[in-house]
Amino acid sequence: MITKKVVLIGDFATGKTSLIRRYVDNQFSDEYLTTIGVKISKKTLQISDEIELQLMVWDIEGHTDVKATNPAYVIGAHGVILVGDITREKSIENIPLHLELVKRLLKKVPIVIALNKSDLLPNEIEIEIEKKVLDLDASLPEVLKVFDTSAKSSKNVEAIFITLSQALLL
Amino acid sequence: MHIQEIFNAIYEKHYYEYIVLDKTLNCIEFSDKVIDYVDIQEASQMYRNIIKLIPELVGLEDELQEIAQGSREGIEIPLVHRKKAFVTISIQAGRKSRYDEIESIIVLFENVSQFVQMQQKSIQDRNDKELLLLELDKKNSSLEKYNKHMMHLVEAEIEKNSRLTNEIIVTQREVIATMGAIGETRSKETGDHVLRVGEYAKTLALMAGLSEQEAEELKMASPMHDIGKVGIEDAILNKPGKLTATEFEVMKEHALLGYEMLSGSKQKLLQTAATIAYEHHEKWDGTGYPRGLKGEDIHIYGRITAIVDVFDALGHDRVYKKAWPLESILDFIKKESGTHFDPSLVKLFLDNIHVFISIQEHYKSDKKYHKV
Repeated sequence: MITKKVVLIGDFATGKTSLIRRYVDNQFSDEYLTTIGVKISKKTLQISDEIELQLMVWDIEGHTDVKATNPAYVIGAHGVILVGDITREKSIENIPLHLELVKRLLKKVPIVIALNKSDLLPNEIEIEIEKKVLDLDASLPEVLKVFDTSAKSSKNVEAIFITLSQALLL
Repeated sequence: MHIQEIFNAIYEKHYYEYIVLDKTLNCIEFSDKVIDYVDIQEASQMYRNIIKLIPELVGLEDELQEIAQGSREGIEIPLVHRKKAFVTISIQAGRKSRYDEIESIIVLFENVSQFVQMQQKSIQDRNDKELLLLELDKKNSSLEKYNKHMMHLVEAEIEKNSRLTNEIIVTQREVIATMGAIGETRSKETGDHVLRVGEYAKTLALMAGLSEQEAEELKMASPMHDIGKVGIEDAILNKPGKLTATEFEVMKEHALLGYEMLSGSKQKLLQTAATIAYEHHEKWDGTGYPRGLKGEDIHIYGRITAIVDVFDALGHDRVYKKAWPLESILDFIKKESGTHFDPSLVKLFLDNIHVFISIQEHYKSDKKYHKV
């Protein structure tokens, strides 16, 4: 079995815990309970008959103005998911800041971006969502792909982890 | 002090648990309750690699090797959530003294649950507050957008209403002028008479000190002063020459008829027109009709219209008479001051006769006016 460490980094209340909970346990809760420190969840993927991939998913305390992401949690990661809240402009503006931390601490590792909570935006601004995704994609060439996700509706949750897992095995 | 003694000292404080590793990172010794923090199945076997016991160390293989080789001081992973508790995991080299060779690697678990419990509420409150502020910002921004949108709608609506109001005013004016002209046309007189009367009336009203709004209202309403004539039979209305006493009595009814036609409306303008129709044949000395009102009991609109109506009517041909020369008209008006007409209005009229003549010139549609 191949074991890989994946960390989710982003501003507080962007839905990192919810994305993990949706992916690992297929559960969701609207209640916001701030994450303190770090909690690790395991998810095993059967890649092929011979290959089993175990993801050690690190749910890290979110970045705030008074407390930045602790580098000790990021060191040793094999893959990174940067998370922003699509309804909170500042959390998206901070993604390049999180990316800088990743580049400083890790050698070339696969990175994907989740613009979460897309369920909170009305359908009519679907174009706006796509624009945000494309803009971010274009501005950060180090990033494999940008997804608009919803832990609530499950939209693209599996996709971010699958995309990252495939890259981890290359 | 031997490293074992240090462990014993730490262990007595009850906050710490530990695992001792050999330099190949295999477990060789555990404290009693360390089982609370590691994978039980893996820990039940001796000489297991530490990474099997502590998933947080996956990915840190190189760093652990560096610690074993002495090229890295240590690693600390703070506030790790573990079975409803929070621990800080520290990994460092174990030596008898700083000058001795590394004997082992020590993994220390410090239970920091109490510290986290103390911190948790304040962090949660701070984040909740921050989210609330962000939410408020978002709402404010939505409200601002909504307000702007509403302002645009209101402005568009005001503009539309203002356009409609103007259209209504213009239409009203045209309808009134047309109604007045109908009355005049029935008596075979030109429609321009009513327009000129309106213009004179407004001019004299302003001279008499009425407001612009009142003067404009008079201008719009006065063309209907003879609307009651539509109810007078043609034989009397268009009779050439002088009317008999009986015919004149019938003719006088046009004032009341006009009033009755117009006074049913709730519109201020039509009520004003009703007053003018009713009172423009009243005389200052009380000998007029239909009610024999006297002096200032006659509405000023009626008194003004009386002068300008006579001024214009005398200056033009009618079925029963030829147009008078201006001098005769002015003499007549002067003579009737204080009997037929309000003397103060007559004075204003005559003092400014050039203004009224220029208005008359402006219309000129009736070429039958006789200049002296």
